[in-house]
Amino acid sequence: MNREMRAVARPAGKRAAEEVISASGLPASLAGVVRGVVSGSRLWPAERAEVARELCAHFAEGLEAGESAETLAREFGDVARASKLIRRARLRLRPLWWRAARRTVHGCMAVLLTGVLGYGVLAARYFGGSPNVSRNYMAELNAQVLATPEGERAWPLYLRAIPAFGEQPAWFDQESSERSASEVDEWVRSKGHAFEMAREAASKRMLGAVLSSRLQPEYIAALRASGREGSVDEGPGPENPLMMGVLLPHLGEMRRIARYLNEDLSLAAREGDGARFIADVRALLGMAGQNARDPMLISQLVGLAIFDLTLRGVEEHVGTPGLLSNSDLQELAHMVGGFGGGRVRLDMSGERVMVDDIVQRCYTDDGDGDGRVVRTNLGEIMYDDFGMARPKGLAVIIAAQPVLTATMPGRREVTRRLEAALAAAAADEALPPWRHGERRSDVGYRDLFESALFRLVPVAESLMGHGGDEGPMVGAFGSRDMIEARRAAVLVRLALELHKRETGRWPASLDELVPRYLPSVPSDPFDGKPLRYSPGVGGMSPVVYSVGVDGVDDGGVPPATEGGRKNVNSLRVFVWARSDPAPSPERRAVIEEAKGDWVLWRAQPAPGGQ
Amino acid sequence: MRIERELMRGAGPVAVMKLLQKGEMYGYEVVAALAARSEGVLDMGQSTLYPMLYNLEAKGLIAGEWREASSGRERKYYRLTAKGQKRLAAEEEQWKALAGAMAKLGVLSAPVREVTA
Repeated sequence: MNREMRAVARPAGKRAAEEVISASGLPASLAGVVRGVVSGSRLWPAERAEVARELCAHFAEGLEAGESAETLAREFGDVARASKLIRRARLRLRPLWWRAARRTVHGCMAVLLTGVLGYGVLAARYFGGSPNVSRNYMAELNAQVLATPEGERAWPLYLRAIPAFGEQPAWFDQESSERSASEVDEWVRSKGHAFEMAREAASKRMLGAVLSSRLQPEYIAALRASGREGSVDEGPGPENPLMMGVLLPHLGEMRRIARYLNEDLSLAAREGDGARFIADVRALLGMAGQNARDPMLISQLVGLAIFDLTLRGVEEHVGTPGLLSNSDLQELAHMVGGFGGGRVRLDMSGERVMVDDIVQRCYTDDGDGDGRVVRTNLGEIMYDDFGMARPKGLAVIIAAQPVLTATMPGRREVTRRLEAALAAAAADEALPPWRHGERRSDVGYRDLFESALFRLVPVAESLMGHGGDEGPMVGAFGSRDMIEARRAAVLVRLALELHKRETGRWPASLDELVPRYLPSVPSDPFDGKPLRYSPGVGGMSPVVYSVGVDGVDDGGVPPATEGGRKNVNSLRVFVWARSDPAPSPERRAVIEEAKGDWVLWRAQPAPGGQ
Repeated sequence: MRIERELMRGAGPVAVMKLLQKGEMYGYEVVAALAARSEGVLDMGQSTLYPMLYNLEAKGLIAGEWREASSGRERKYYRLTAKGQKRLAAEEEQWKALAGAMAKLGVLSAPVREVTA
């Protein structure tokens, strides 16, 4: 055996294949075949050397058997195919750990590839489509306002009253106990002209504020003229802004002016100026009505708050000696009783507009009521419009949107859920307060937001919080119900006062007030029965009361503690007490503390008895 | 006559294992034996044979070992393992059943007889 053949015969070990081939002494054509096979196999060096060794041995056998190099090369077959098959076969001979690792890597790559492909499909769907923003809800609402002559709109008049009221007085943010009464009175007396303007504005049926996502120049000018440095003029803003980002600066102004009017009402009562007192009540009710008739729920809640403020003012001063004539009391009863048609209704059409507007900006429109979620810059708009800092990694959040929105319901389903939630809200709205525990509309409304809209508009979640843990709708209905109960108490109080003036005594029961002073005895909000009344026998003062959250008539005795008196008319506690079969210890403590009656009015003991 | 690749893929390993059942052989010897004993029908190129040997080795049906022949040449001898024996027996049964069925269909002219070396 020559030196080359002995070299071939040595175990390959880690010897390079090329060394094996070179040492084989095979003719160039056969060496080329071996070289082609091993280099094409892309195996480990030792494996290549092993294959080369066997193929070299094979060809050496053939040559020794008398076959020509050309014949052997031809009979070998396709080199590339041999490389491929040998590689595949040799890989099966590799160690188990290597094969397991390879399979794992392949599996991971397959998963990754599937993920990338899946993301690609979702991203193409999400980023590839565009919404069809066909409606300008703000313009539609503004069109109704602008169709009304400016002279019949209140907001332009309020804009003139704002500078007249001037800077916000120091006492405005002070607790009542900290205020200087003389300072407040002096300020109120100095603003007579402003109050006249406010009363005139309040006499208009329509508020008539033009909506915009930017502060209007007229409002900024009014702020500057009042000495209250307002925001800078940011220009006209987008023509079709997101409804959820539309500013409602008039709400804050209305609350502010209502509080000013309430101070004037108080001063008028103390000065015995019944006409001004009545005028201020009328103005406050006008302001409350202007807001309560707005389609936006938040505006309606402001209207209710102003109505509540008015009721408290009337209640406080009905018995002020020499302030109000009998006809004044009757007029007040008509004004208070007639407000909102006798029962303030909460309208959800504005909520629908908000959601519809989000949907039209986030979904494609197939023209048949359906569509899929697509990329919009809604989130960024919200951050800008609400002046919130954009979250870190917003680009990552946006990149994740195709995945986050993949399971979101389609346009038709979102609309269906919205309509179902609003229908449930309408049913809840009509329920009396003693059925508050049956109100469930926020479940559907929250589900709608959590399933879809929060993912599109993160800021929307914070807007859902204004109803507390009950949710925005049920919370609003409960607030309305308690204010309605206060209205009922004020109407009873006015009737009692008239009865007392005409007969010289308090009635033995509220039934005596019907029908001369009251069309009917109002219902107790906590059980639907007539409001309770005790004529104050045995030296006790007359009292009008509700049974409160515990539903037990305690004869007009309120809860013993401040905390209990605070919760005695809480519908939240009412639901815990009536509908929760196993309240937590904390809730049970609150329920216990709130036991007693909700005293709506108690007569001040007259010197020497009744 | 050359056999279609798919058919060869099933028949080739059985043929190789059958050859090795009689005793160990090295690659060139297997090629030569297949060509001679099948009258060229199972004559497969080395580009097919060696991957087939590696596959059978990976499955544990045959085992290879480098040894120096009496001629002084190093050869890799392949032998049938116990696992290979079992597999061959099973494969043979299947081939007989297949051949019997083909004969009944008239594809084969006569029942297959036991192949003897």
